[in-house]
Parts: sequence; C-alpha cells; structure tokens
Amino acid sequence: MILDELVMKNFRQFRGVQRIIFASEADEGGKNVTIIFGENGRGKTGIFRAIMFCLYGERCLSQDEGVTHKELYLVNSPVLQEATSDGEPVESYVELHFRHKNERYSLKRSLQGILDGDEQLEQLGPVVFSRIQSDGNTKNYNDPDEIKRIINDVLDRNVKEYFLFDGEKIQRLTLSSVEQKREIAKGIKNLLNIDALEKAIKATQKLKKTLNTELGKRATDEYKRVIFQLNELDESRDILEDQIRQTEEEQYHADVEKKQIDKKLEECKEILHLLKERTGTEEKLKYEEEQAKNLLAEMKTRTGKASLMLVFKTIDHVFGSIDKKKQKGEIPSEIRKDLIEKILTEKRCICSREILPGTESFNQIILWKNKSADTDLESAALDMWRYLSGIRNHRDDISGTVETLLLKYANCKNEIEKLRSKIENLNNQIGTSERKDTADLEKHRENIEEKLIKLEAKRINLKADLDILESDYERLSEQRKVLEKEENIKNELVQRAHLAEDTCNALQAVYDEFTDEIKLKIADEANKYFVQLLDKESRETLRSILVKDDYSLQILDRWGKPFLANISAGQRQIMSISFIAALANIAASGKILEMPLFMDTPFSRLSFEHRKNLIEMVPGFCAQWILLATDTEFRKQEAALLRKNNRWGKFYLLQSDGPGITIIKERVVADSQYILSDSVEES
Amino acid sequence: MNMSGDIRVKTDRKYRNLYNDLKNFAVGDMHELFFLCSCLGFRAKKKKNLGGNGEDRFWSRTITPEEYACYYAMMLEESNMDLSAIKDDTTIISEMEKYANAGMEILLDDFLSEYCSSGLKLDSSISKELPKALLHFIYEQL
Repeated sequence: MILDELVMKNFRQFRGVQRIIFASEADEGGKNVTIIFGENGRGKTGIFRAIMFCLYGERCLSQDEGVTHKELYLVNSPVLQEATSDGEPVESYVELHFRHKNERYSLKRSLQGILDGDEQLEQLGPVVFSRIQSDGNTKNYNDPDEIKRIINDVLDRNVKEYFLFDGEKIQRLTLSSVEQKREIAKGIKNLLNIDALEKAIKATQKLKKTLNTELGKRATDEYKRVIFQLNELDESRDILEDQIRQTEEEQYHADVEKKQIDKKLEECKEILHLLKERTGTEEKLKYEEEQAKNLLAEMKTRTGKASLMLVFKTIDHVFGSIDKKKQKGEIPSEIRKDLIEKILTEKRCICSREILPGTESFNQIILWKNKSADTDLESAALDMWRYLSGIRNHRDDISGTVETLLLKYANCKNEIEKLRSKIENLNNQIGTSERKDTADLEKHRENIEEKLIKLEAKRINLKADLDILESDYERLSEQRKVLEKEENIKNELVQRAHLAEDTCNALQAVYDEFTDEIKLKIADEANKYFVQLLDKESRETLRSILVKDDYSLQILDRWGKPFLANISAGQRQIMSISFIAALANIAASGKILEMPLFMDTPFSRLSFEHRKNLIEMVPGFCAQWILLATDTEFRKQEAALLRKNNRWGKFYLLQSDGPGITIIKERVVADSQYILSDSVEES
Repeated sequence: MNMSGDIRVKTDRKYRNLYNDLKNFAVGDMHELFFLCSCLGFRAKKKKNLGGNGEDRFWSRTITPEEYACYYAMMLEESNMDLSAIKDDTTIISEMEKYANAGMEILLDDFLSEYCSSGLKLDSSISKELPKALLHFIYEQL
C-alpha cells in the first residue's frame, strides 16, 4: 500500500476542502519522504485521525484512552457554528487515494454534523469505494463488509499500528496486552502468509478423514476393525483437541480478565491501604455497635434493680427500725399477744396472782401488750427485714453496676463516633463509588486465579490423554501398515488415504519449521536495524532483540538477560521501529515492502543521535515515510540531515487561520531552512 | 410477707400505651416499671388516686420479693413503723398504685415527655437509647 493523496473537507481543524499529496518512491528521484509540519494544536493528529477514519471508520485512536466517541467531534466546529444560523447540517468527508499491488483505490468516508443546542451531533454518511484494476477497469463497491474485507487485505487492521502510528505510543507495541499480542500475532501471520499454510493443513486433515471414513466402509475383517479404530481415534483426537482449545481459550480469557483487574487494581493502588483500613474500621464499628446494642439490652433488665436506689433511704430507715426492735427483743415478742390478752381478761397471772385494773402490774401488762404485735405481722416484718438486709448488702453492687453500664455505654458511643468519623474521612479520601469496588476486585481476582489453576490442571490432563491417544494411533497405524502388507491391500483409495496423511504431516512439519525460521529471521533482521539505529551508548548496554512465540518482543542485555522492563521510552521506540522494518523486509522477501510508515510525533522521545540514525536509514528501508512533526522535534538540524540524503519529496505546513481552523500549505523542501527554528543543539 | 400473687395491679388507663411502649423499649417487665413509678411517687411523697380510671395492668405474682419488701418498707415508713400497715397486701398494692400513678406523672414531666410523639405514646424513632436514658434519669435522682 502506498498513500497517494488525502483530501479532507471540514474535518477536525481543516475548514473547507484541503489536500495533501504524499511523496513516494515512484516520484522523481525516488523521493519517498513527506513532512507535515505544524505546531501543537494545528491538526497533525487530525491528519492521522483522518487516515484511520477513512480506512477503518475508527473515530478514536489508541492515544484517545478514556475519550468516548460522543466526546470526540470530527466535523469542524467553527463551520458548524456558522451553519447553525442557517439551520443546515455540515457535510464533512475524508477521501484517501492509494495504490496496492498495481491497482489504484479510492476511498471516501463522509459524515454530517449538526448543532442541537450546545450538543454537536454527528451522523456517519455513506462509504464510497472504487478500485481501478491493473487492466484499467474500475469497480465500485457499496457493501460495507466487502469494503472492510478488501481494506483488511491491503493492510490488516491487526497490524495497522505497525505502519500507521503515533511515535510517542509506538513503544506500546512492546508493552501490549495478551489480547493485543494475540491479535498482532494473527495480523503478522496474515502479513507473512503463514495463515495460508494453516489453511492448507486443515484442508488436508479434512481430506484424510474423509478418505479414511470411506476406507472403513469398504474394508473387511481385521483391517476393517483397525481402520474403524483409527477413525474413532481421529474423532476422539478432534474432540480432545477441541477441549484443549476451549480450555486454552478459557485460560486466555481468564488471564485477560486477571490482567484487566490487575490494571484496575494498579490504578487504585494508592487507595488499597485506605480500603483495607476502612474494612478494618468497619469491622470495629460493627463490633462496637453490637456491644452498644448488648449494653442497652442489659440496661433494660436493670431498671427494676436500679429503682431500688430511689428508696435506699427508706430501706435503711425501716431496716434499722426493725433491726433495733429485733435487738430489743420486741420482735419477735417474748410472750405471745394472745397470752397477754388472756391475763388481762382473766385479771389473773399465770402464777395465779390476781392483777386488778388500775394497779401498777395491770398498767405494765397493758404497755407490754401494746408493744407486742401479731405473730403474722412480726413474721412479715422479719421477712421484710431479711430482704431489706439482702438489698443493703448488694447496695454497692446495684449502684456500681448502673454506673459501670452507663460508663461502658458512653465509652462505646464515643468509640462509635470516632470510628464513624474515621470512615467518613476514609470515604472522602477513597473518592468515587467506582473505586470502592476494589475490594470486590481483589476477591474476584482470587477467584480467577483459582480458576486458572484448575484450568491448567485440566489442560495438562487433556494433553496427557492426547499423548496416550497419539501413541495408540501410532500403534494402530503400524498395525494397519502390517495388515496392508500381509493382505496385499493396494487399491487406489488406500493410496490416496496414505498420500493425504503424508501431505498433512509434511505440511505440519513445514509449518513448524517455517514459523520457527521466520521468527529467527525477523529477530535477525530486527537486530540488524536495531544496531544501526541505536546510539553508541545504548549499543554497549543492549545486545539483541528476541521475537517470542506470540511475536511479542524481548530485549537482552549485554549478559543475555531479559532487559525490556529497564529500557527507556526512546529505546523502546527504536526497538519497535527495528521490528517493523524487519517485518516489512521479511514480508517483502528481502525487498522493500510496499507499505507506508506513517509516524505522528516521530522524534519527540528520541535523542539527537537516534533521530539522526532514523533520518539516515528509514527512507532506505520503507517505500514511503510520512512524518507529522512539531517544531520541538523537527528543526533546522533534522531538516538538514533529511535534505542531505535527498529523499525528501513533499513539505507541508499546517497554519492557523483563526480559532479552530487550520489550513494546509505546501512549500518547497528548500524553504525548510527559513521556516524551521534553530535546534537547541546548534545554539 | 404474704407476697400475694393473685392481686390485679392497676394503673391509670391513660397510661396503657405508655406502659406497653416502655415495656418494649426501656424496662424488662410491667412490675419493674410499676416499681419505678411507685418509688418516684414515694420519694416525692405524692399519691394520686386512680378513682374510676384504674385498669388492670399485671398480676402481683410477677412482683419480686425485693420489690414487695420495699413496698412493705414504704408502708411502714409512711405509718411511722406501725406493723399493721403491712397487714394486707391488697391495701399495700392499692397504696402503691396511688404512688405509682403520681410517679408516672413525675416520670412524664421530668423525663418522658421528650420521647413522646403525640399524647401519651412513645416515638419509637427516638426511643432507641431509652434504656440508657432511663437508667441515667434514675441515677440523676439520687
């Protein structure tokens, strides 16, 4: 794919119709470099966005993390404001002309914008796609799925970020998630045509199965049994392989989920300790509240006893009075009251002496009678005295318990208040409700880890079953060969079945060898570029790039140890570019791959030596290099280097034409020395 | 002490809700609340006849020996230690009903009014801590 021309109308900052014609190798002198130069905010990323939108219909770029479609406006806002007074919608489009394998393509994606109050509404319009074939005939396409498929054939969306990327983010290719790695591996296989080999293996497996089934129907006796068993094993193998695939798929998804949770947890790392503290405080609060509840329940049962305190004085007084009478012997009475009454009635003492009224003895007996009481009353008074004595003995306990309960409750309430206040403070620090889920996330992560362990055990068991099956299959295959030899079975169907099996095995061997070889080749090529692009100091620290099985990258230090986590963002960028160059080189079988290298903010993270190396080398290994550069990264010095190697074909300036409006102006390359600023290095 | 258990202890019927609510929220049983009210009335030396407003509230068999002993003591103190004052439990309980009736008025005036929503009914929404408040109120009377 070579980009020829980009036309934009009212797209992002670009008011009206504006265009860029890209330099390419086919141009005079093989000048394949285009520089689009603009200060920050002038719309460089808008151009990048326009290409992504046109090719894939994507509104958001990978650097738009956290931005939703609705928040991102594609239609030029000032034009929209002007049009609102007329009540007309604004038409916007991006048109991209490009070449691929001797055919020319034209793709136009449009949208309409309208202002509804303060809200900017945008609606996607039709996609117009045409292809001018090598014979000169033009074919138009309307079906969105077909357009998508053709574009994907030209540049697989899984690897688009290898060729169209933001320089500041390209290093992310070395940090990609498991899911991204899998997609990238798929894209790379597609780019290198490895997927064609996979398809061929599947086709021969299917053929082998069909032929064996047919053979099973026609065979007889022992041979039939063996063929039947082999077919059964084939079926079982399919099932086992399917189960293994499913298990691996589950493992993969669980792993992706775990990583996503890890990412969220990482984001919440700073509040993790607060969450733990809050959980602890909440538990304490729950305990204290329970304590308070118990204390209240206990207090409820103490009201009766506590009320005794209100009459302690009376208790003391009555107790003392009865006690005194008891001590004096008045209670219980020394002589029963009924006996005294008998003496007074009979006027005669128990010793038969006469006691007459008005005498001293009579009066004494009357006094005595008045002091004595009924036996029942005395008994009641004594009972009361005993109970009052008991109450008095527990007097301190009763008041002490009340005091303790009240004090305990006050302390408990005080503690509850403190804990509540602490939780409130923690909640303020923890913040939004989304982040409060972290504790649940940790629990969920534990569950996923358990699931992963179980899945791995299941996968190992399935693999073991598959190994046993393979060994049975091998044994039966040998038996089959012996039987064919003994019974001289040489018909055409048998030969075809053998041929299919041999082909399948051979293709699998080729596939294994090829993929191993391709990874090594990519690593070799990447290392060549890497060494040339790295600055002197980095070359001393870093030894080589390693391409892993999933086509992700690792870097080894001078002692051969993995070092990826320790390299700088600039070094990561160089590493990624080396990998892309290697990939392009392998995909084009050593020639230059017909693919643009489109870089937004290409040099901002790079040292001058790295920039110099890139400027000197990249135009030589890619078919087209398009740079969206800003004034801080592309200055006189970089421009001079680029002019020197004579590959710079097109130069565009992004200039402001009022708030929110940018116009694209083409300038001759030589003007760069007047337009660009001096570099810091020069000054 | 006879500690008669077959006497129906009466309170003013207007306090029916209060007795029920306080039993739910603040005290263990009716007899304890009655004891508290009697003590309050006795301390204040206030009695109030139930007249025709008496309503059976609980059986005297629930009254504890300690409470009975206190009722006897109150009767004795009131009668200047005349033992005949403790001769009849019905009379004692009847006297205590008068004290309790006056005691409930004191309780209402000095403490319970802020917990009553409308009329003589407790507001459950603010009565959660009533056991503690009541205990504190008793403690404050000393």
